Amino acid sequence: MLTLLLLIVPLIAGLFLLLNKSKSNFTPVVYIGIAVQLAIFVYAFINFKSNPSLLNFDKAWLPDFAIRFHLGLDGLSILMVGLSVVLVSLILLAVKGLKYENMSHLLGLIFLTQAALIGVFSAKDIFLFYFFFELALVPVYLIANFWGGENSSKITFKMLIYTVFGSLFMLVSFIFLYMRGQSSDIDSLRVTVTLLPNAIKQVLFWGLLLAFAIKMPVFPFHTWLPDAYSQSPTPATMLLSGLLSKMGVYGLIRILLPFAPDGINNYGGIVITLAIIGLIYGSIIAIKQSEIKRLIAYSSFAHMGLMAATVLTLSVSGMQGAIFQMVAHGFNAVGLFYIAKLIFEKTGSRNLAQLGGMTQTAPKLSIMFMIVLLGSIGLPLTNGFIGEFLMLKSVFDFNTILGVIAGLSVIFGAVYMLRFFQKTMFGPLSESATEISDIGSKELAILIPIAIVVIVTGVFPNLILNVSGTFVNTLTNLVR
Amino acid sequence: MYPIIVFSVSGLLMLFLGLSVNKKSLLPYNLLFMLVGLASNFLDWNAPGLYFNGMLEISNPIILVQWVLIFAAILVSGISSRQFDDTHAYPAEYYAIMQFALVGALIMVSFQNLLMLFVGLEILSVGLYVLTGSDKRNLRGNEAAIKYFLMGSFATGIFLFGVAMFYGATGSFDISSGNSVANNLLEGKMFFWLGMVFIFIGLLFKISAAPFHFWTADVYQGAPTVFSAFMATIVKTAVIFALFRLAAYSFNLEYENWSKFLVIIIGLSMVIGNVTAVFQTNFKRVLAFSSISQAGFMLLSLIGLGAQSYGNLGFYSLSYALATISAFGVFLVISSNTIVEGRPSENINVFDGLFSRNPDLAIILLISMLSLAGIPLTSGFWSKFFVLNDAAAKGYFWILILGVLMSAVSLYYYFNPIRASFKKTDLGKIEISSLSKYTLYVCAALTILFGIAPNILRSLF
Amino acid sequence: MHFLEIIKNLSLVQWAFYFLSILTLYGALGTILSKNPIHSVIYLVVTFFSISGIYIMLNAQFLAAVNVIVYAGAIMVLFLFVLMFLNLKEESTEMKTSPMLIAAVSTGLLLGLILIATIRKAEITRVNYNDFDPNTGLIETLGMVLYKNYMLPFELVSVLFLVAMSGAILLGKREKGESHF
Repeated sequence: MLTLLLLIVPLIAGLFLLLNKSKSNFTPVVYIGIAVQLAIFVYAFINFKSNPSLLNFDKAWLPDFAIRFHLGLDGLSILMVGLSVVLVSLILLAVKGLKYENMSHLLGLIFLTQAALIGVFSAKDIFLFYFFFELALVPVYLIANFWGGENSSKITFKMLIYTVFGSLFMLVSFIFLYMRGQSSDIDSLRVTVTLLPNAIKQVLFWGLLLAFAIKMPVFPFHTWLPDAYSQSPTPATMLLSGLLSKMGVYGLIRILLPFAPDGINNYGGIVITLAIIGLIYGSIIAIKQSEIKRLIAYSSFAHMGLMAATVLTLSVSGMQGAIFQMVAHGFNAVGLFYIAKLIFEKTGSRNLAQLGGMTQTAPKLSIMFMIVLLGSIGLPLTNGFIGEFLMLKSVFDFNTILGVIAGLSVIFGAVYMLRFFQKTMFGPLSESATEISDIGSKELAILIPIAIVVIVTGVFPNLILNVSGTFVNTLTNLVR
Repeated sequence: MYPIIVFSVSGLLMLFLGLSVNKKSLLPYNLLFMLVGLASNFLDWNAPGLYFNGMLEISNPIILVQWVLIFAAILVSGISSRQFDDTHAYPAEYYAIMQFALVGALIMVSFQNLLMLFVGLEILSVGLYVLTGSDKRNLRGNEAAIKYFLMGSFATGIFLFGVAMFYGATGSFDISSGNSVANNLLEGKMFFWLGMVFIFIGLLFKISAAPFHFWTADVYQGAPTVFSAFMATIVKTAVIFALFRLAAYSFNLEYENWSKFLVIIIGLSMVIGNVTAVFQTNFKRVLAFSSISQAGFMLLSLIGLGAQSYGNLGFYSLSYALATISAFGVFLVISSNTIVEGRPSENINVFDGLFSRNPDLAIILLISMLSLAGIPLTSGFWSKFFVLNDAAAKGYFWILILGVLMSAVSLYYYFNPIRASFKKTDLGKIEISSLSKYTLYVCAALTILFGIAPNILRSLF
Repeated sequence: MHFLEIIKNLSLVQWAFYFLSILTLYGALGTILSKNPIHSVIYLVVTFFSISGIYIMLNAQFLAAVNVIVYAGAIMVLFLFVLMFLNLKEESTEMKTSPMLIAAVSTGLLLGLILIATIRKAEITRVNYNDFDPNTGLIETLGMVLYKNYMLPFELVSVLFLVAMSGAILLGKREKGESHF
């Protein structure tokens, strides 16, 4: 029941904001929406271990086809739902402080994306999962279309087609599976999968992999990412890098692992290698970037590559690491893109060559930037470290050489991030940075929680690892 | 059975009303007659049976499809408001012929005797030949009418040849007599197979399945937009259900033979329809090619031929009708506002800046294009899902993958109008009559409603 | 030699059938290939007459009579009227052999081949001369069947006629400002 509420509250808030024709005061709706969904989530989290049936919602959707509208939360889902609730609240507050036209429509579309995301993360029926998976991209496309520049609509459209193309393969795989299993429930299909003939299992693996590989993205399918992230307006980019890319990793863990374990055992190595190639490739290209959004985009791509590789190693530490990193990277990426937007708003430039010396005129911004940056690099005491460490350990256990190569990414990460920081914050005061004002309390209200998360989850990782622990253990036992 | 009588009479009444009543009130009369026809179908509910010496069969599923047809006709009438206001239009005749054509369509979904199918097919087709050419000052319309008439008559001739062969093989025109031939030797079945193939080809032409689709683009482009909408929805629904009845009752024992040939047709329709549509610049041609590919999808239900195929096809027809009528409706309003060289422009760039000119229309266009492409939250997604399920149930996996690939291709041309509508422009606001507006609202609302809770409609079948 | 044997042994009915068929084909080919449109119409009339002859051989007397009256009598006369209005000259251009023409002809021949093969392979049941009801093609029997068994399609064809009539008037009516012929 609570899960349904978590889905409906942003939906209603979003529709209300979208249908708001007059320029009336819509701010209360936003605040109420954020407060209500946070409250429901906290209540759900408290009841998670003690009263799990409260979180379940199961109703017949298409009785003739045995497809049910089944929502439920387990260890992984509740973490992802929590991530999306908190992150979207932060994104909403951040966007509200920025200057965009038709603010109520923009915030409404963000709320709708939130509803779709909660649907993806809590769906327990494969067709319900597909339904929300496809749906999540539509509001983001609309945001990029209306509030983006000339190029952004064309590029986001390319991303839309690319992603839908991949998800259609997922649909085909689901239909195959549904035909064989006569049911569309994720939990019951796990059993059916073991009985399938080999050929079908192959098709299942490649079909599902393609969909998620395009979404995350993984190395050869990443061509849409740099343009889409850098050309889209900041709200869209924050949603894409913070949450929608996580849908891909979530799909890997929730769908691919239980449904195609043989495929992973046979072909996992190839995919892991591709992901590591992506990791190194993304990091190296990021070093050479001079436009800040593109730099963060490539860093995002690199992180996703590592997450994909780790999930496919089928080890407990790998999965825990990937799940932890999903949460961590969500916060870090949103923080970084928000800071990039703030830099752009204040100085009018996104080019590293034109920026510099912002510490002198905006010290608070640079402190916040440093904290989030260190989280992204993976310094011990920040959340990035826990995730990176667990993930690198699992890759190392899987294959020493790949582990060493992946380890190089930490160095590259440090290089491009510190270069980014140095070129924007340190150094002689550039022209663009001379007349700027420092960030105020509105921006701090968003950056400080992010910074707190970075540090607290870095020092007390068990806050997150304990929640997903049982789930990961069950899954690895099932899949091995 | 009652709607057939009602519409035959009301068509006559409409012709007479054209003499006596003011032109502007003909549309309300038309809607009234259609509502009476819709209501008269209730009299047959839960009273299945054969009528008139085995000519028509009425049962609940058939009544549902007849409702879909009449409802689609109501929607088409709804979007036709203010289109027939100038002195060169004869709305009384147009609406009368529309109602007569609807009679033909209603016969085609409930026939039990092949002669009835022929009569229904001809009534529907001849009505549409006339309506296609009804705008006499449009040269493309004249060309479209001639093309449609010549090719359509030829197709009906082929169909009739097939019926003759069927009679020769079975000795009766009743569709269930196909089962009597099932146990014959090969020599005894020759004429039956010949008849089967020719009947299929004649009907596949009408549904514009490839490779019998060459008339579609020119005819849809040349016909007045209201009648293109009628063609795209009601003709397709009537013919596909006629094909379904034939496949399920007459030819079901020959399934292994005709299903292979139908799979090729489906593959060709999907590929040709989608790939050619990508290159079109005229919006009506885009919708024509899209209808070719949708016909391919609908034929998947025939391949499936399971217990749920009828319901899936019904759902698909209604969802497709809603999406197409709203697309044509929005296009109609905008193109009437954009006159190029004395005629309403039909290029996709008429949609430029629609969102700033009339946001409601842009949202309705978005919903209808999403439904046609098969994006979740719209009924189009479920309809594609159902028919793909049907095909998968019989084991046709390659056609499933082809269908999915072509859906991805179709996304490109379905989004062209949407992207155009989001461009910035300085053109003025667009006026829309309230009847059109409410019709489009109903279409969009139902599309979303059936997208979220498809069982409301699906459980009726 | 064998061929001449066959010809000598043909019965009268078979002679009649072959004669009428050749006449039909001659008329059909003449319709398509003749250059003068009036000649085409005459050839078509010849075709209809010979088809009516075949109908009589099949014991469908009423149908033969109706064929002559309606087709050859009414429709062809209508054609001739229209042609005389239009005052068409003889076609002087040669027909070009385009790829479409070759494709159409070969498709038609292929179809003919398939049909001939099918008919050869099919098992054709003969009519039993003893059981045959001599009233079959007569107008009374036809009327009974039409008004009893096939009443519904008979009545609904009236809708088709109404559509055709109103459609013809709608399309053919002269608008204000259109030119005369």
